[in-house]
Amino acid sequence: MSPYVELHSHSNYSFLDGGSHPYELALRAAELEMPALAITDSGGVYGAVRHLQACRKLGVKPIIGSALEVDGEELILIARNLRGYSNLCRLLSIAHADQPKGEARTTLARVAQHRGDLFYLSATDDESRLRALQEALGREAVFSELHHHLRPEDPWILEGRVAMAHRCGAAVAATNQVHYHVPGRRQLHDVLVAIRHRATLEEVRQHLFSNSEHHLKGGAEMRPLFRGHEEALAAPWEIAQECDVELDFRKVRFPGYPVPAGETPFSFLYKLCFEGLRERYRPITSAVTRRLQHELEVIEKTGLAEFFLINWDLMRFAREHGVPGQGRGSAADSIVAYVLGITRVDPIEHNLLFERFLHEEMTSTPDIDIDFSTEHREQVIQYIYEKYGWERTGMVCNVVTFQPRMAIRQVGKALGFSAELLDRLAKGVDRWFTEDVEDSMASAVPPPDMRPQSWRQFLELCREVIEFPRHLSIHNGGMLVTGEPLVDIAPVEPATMEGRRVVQFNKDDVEDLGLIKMDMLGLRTLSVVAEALDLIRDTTGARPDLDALTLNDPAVYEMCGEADTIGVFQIESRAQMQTLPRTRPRTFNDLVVEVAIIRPGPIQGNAVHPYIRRKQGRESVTYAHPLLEPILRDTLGVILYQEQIIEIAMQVAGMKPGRADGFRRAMTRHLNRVEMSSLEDEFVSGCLANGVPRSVADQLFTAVQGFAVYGFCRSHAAAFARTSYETAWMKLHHPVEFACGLLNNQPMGFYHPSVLVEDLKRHGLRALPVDINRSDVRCMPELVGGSLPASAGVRDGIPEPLKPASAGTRGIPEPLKPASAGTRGIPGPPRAETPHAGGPPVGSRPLPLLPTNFSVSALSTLPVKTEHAMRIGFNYVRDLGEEGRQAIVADRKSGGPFLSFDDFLSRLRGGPISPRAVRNLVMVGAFDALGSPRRALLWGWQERWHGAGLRKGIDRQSELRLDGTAPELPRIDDFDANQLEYRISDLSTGHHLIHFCRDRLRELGAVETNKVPRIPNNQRVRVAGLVITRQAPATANKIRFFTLEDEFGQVNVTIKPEVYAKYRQVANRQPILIIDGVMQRQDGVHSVLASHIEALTGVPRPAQRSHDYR
Amino acid sequence: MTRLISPPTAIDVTLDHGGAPIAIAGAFQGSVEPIARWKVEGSWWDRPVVREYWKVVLNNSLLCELYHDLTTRAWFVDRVYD
Repeated sequence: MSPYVELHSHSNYSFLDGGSHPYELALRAAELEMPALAITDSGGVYGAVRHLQACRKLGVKPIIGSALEVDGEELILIARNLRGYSNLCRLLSIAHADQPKGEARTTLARVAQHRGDLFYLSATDDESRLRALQEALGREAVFSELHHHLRPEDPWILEGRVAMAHRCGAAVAATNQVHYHVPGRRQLHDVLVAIRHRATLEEVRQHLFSNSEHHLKGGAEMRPLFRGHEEALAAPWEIAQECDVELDFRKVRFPGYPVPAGETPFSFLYKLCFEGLRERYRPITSAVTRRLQHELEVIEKTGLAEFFLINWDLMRFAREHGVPGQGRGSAADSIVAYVLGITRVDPIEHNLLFERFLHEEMTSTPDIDIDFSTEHREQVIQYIYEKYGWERTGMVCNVVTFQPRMAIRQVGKALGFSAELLDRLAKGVDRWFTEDVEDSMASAVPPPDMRPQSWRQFLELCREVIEFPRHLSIHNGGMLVTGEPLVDIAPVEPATMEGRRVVQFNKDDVEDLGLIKMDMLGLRTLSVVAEALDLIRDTTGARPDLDALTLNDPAVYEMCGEADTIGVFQIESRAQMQTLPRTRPRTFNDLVVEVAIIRPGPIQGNAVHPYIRRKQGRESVTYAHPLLEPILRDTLGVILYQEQIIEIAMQVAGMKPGRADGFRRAMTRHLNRVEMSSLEDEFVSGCLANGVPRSVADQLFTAVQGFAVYGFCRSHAAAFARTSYETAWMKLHHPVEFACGLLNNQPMGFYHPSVLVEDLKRHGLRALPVDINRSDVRCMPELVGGSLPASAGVRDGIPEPLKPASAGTRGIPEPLKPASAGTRGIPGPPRAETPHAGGPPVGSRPLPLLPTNFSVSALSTLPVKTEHAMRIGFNYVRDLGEEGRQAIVADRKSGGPFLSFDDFLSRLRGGPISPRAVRNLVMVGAFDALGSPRRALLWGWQERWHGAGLRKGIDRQSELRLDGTAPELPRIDDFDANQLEYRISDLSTGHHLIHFCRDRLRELGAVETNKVPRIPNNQRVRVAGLVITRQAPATANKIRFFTLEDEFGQVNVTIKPEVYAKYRQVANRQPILIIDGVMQRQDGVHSVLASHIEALTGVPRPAQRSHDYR
Repeated sequence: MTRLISPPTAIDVTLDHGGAPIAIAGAFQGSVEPIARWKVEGSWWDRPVVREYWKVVLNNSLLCELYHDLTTRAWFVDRVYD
């Protein structure tokens, strides 16, 4: 008897219409002993690669196809071979073009245009339609699709369709129109349909299947339904046997790089390498040339010369156009990449393994990821599009999946939960979500008697749907460049961005298909660095050459060791700041380890603390098994690098090199539970075969698993560490320029801008508030304190001689006179506005260069010499907008400084500045230097702005029409000014918010953060401050870490789960906390172990500006 | 002509080894010959309905519809064709 195979099957890549993952369907097919299974998702082949891999692993023959809406009806297309697949891709691309995003439909005429090597199944009951299909697509290729889903009408529909097929001479094929793998998933499918219709289940009743019969059925279940039509059950297997689609595009992956006449790609590459060698290495040693020769040989053998040329060309373009960029990832293992200028880390000096990047048996394609400054990334992408042509370039897709909050909202809505309940549940979900849905909703869960009826189902459905594909979006920066036109390889869809196309495969699929993807990522840090370098050139006259840094300035390492790293790339996080004083990096290699170890990976794999303990000699270096010793010796027995994962897979689990690399790659992907357990089996059985005890194998797999997802490869860590060093160097030697770079390129980094400003102030530098005549579009260094010559500071450890202030200093040099606009930058006793207009406020003092209170903790030990302060730019005035900022600066340039508020109004009225922005400028103090009190300025200003008589766009809050006489308006005091600045600029150039609470906090016995280091271990203490970070672990029952900030510095707080449970709401929601606990100090790191958490009441709430993360 | 039995009448059913009804007892009585079957599963979020329907000929003369409520395991006659 012929087996039955399923040819009409929707996975969850039929977005919102499939209730199972491709792997689940494949597994079920294997359980049913089904020899073949098709995947036919609607409008695409998004799940095809996963389907292929799953089927192959399980011994099921994979069939590739798609379901497409043709003239309003569903048509199933099955690819017979690669040519059929290409036709399918072209057709799918056409079907998506000119349709709303995510939709695909086409006509029979189009399908006919691309018809070779495809089979077609149609469940139509319209005889003329069937005949039309046969006519257009060929009789032998068209099948009448028979269904029986145990609906009352099914038996006679079936008979009718069979008779019609017979009349047309069409063959029949039975399918089950599968939408989920087991009946139990029917509910999820119903919910997805409801979500798709944005309605409740009740409302979409008519769109739901009437029973649970659309699951994957084997021959045993199908046979009773199709009694008398056995040929229909045999047909799918006959079709399947004719199909053979191998998706391997390795041969067509390169677009053919145009080399100069007389050269081949390899000879050209060779030439470029030796040119680059002379630049990078002086002198050129034999070790260097030997390494280069070796790598070039491998490149020649693997045929990858063009790949390197493409990347070299890209970097050349970037350099020529002033676009900051650098290679990251394993490419840094390669000397070829180094001499071609793709990467910036010397692999010889840092002992980096080429084979991690490329070797002869390589089955996957090597990875060259390049970071570009975010501002310029678009330019680079555009260059690729233009150079290789739109036909051969496209963006890699990213499938957006259901996230917890969305799942709760959408599933709940489908079930008819009230909007109110859903709101509470979704908001109640910790931003850190755990596997246990109910636990994460914790306090928002209604008591048992108030739960909706379908509560249990709701939880189960949420659990199932999380991580389900939801829709397509573009993978940030992943681009495909191919040899053959892209549409023959993968369907492309229009992207929201004009002229861009996105392929239906994601980055993992692309790799599996053997295609080359270029990863051009935007790294804001590179923008920061580029901008800071330009500013340093302006303030000192010379632009530092970062390539020339020797990476061994002891002051830089000292600063890192003190955890004075706010703003420094990769080592500024709370976790890093807790580790740095313990590991005390002293060399560049130490910094590489530092960058690599503080990732979620090693922390989950339990590796961070052991490494630190071992480095400090507190713990002996041991290996879980002797086989691990040679692999982990360099890292003291602890898994830190991806290379080590590969080596473990080979030496301990006995995998071949190709498979080991595949294993590492598979582990680093986002796998669902089902896929992960399959890898575990493979690994553990390999270990057992090698004589490794079961318990060790399990432990090892957990460690590898925890590590693998985020673990760094050594070369990648090295590339990043270079940027860490450079940013640390800039922070140390040019803190103001660096801070300007950071503030001008937000959002980025670990901390909110206000924290960066506080950090600057704590280092004895100043931030100057927005000033209508001094601020620029962006934050800029501004010379303060008079005509002192600019000091160039220290450059790479060598002090530079003092030079006179160079041309090009930004801002107006301030002549020595009593404080005017700058005074708000100084923390000091509160100073109220005095009631006279014009002239500087009475009672002001000349500005000292250092604030009166100094944070002792986390300070650089070297004095920082600078006369520059950071002038906050117009980019930190809410509602002003880019046009508004430019307008102010442009007008000032052409018309000179603004002489008064009215002058400003008359010059800028009618321009792009909104009334709200004008109000914000006044209230943030931009006009303070011009003399008038803020509220007075705003009295009746709208008429001056719009002209008398016109009342367009009146901003009600600033208007009080009381018959024209201006009343006595309350003055803005320091506290008001502080609040206004926080509200309008989201930061403070003056006092820290906590300064205003200091009296109250003293009453409450809270200790200032700069006094915390003196508190002995184990002593009870009360601390208080603004919450600036909240970190929660991945699983609910672990410890949380908060950081509080006051005007003196920061303090770390550790909160155990039981304490957190008690104070959860307060801890999460309140911005200013008072925390009682016990001091814990160890190795130069201190933290307060919390026992009681309370909010500070009676102070106006600032907006939340904490960084909350997992 | 057909009419719904409302409310559906409970009956006892004898099944063959394949799970199909062969005889019923209660308000309706006699041997039954199944001629069609279908399944309805709905309203699972509210009041779930999981039923397997059978169209049968009772005593070789009356066409009627039975259903098996899979939640309560009870059988009912809910329609006759007379």
